[in-house]
Amino acid sequence: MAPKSSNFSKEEELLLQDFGRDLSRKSSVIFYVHALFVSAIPLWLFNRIHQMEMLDNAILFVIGTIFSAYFVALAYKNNKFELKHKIAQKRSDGVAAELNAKMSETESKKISKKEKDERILWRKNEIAEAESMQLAVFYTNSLFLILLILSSFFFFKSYSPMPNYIISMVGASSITGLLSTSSQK
Amino acid sequence: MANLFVISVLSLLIGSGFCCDQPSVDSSYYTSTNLKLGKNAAFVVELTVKCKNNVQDLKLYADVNGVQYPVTKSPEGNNYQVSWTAKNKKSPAALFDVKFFDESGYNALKKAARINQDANTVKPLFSVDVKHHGMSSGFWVSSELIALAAASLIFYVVCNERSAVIS
Repeated sequence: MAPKSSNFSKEEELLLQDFGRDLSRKSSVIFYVHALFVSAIPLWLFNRIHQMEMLDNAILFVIGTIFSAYFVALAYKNNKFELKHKIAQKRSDGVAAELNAKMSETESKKISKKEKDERILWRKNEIAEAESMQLAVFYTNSLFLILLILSSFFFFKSYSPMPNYIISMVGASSITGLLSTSSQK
Repeated sequence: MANLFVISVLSLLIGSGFCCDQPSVDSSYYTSTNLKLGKNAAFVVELTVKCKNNVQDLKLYADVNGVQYPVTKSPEGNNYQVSWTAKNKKSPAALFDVKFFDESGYNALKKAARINQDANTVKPLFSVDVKHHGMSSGFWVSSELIALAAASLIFYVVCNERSAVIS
């Protein structure tokens, strides 16, 4: 087995960073903040509808929210990675046309083809990053909330509030995280 | 003569001790409006009565549309409560004038009923207006179904969007 090589060129490292599964710090922060917010929404539901007191169940709510936020953030990450490649492919022609239109003829002659391709790649990456993040968050949030509504208000309706909360939150977040690990080829 | 004097003084004392003079009333009420909770409408009226002559432990009776109900008193303070139920069909949305009588008023009311006299001639100690909004079973679709439908619609839209990207 070939040993892992850390001798990547700068361009290769940049490519890995842009199209790899790892998130930048900014993306991580955005994802975790969204995940915490979405995981905290059910607290209002369980407080107002299932009549669970916030202070009495504070520990359970904190653990449940953190657990759910972890899996929802994981789902964001996986969905974003899957979508980014596809979006980059779809937007490739459009981005190239946009950049060519922006550059004047003289400017276009001045810069090399390699630099032009790099600019297109960078712009494509920027657009794909933003769009894939937004779509991943939107999709994951809607999936999580629909699973939560189904489990809490239909499947486990007759359960008492505390088991209802535990099962609904664990179930909805786990299934959301699990479904994000699937990939379409 | 002396006996008559004693009796008069006693009557005055007893009378002033049990008759509430110029009552001031603080009231709140509840009427059931959800048909799903029960077919009969329930009414609860809670009040605090303060008499100018500081009479405690009043014995009160409530009259609602010609039917009398005893009013219970809390062990401490001047808090009273009366409750009754009525079949939903007999209690549509309406303003109920709940009249409260002390013991002498209640006896007068009973006497008027016995001799077929108009009960409105007996003046109540005070009265409380209770507004009943009527009972209903609410919207025919439950709120969780509406929430699920809205969430499903959003999920369908986002799935379409995602499929368009992935394909």
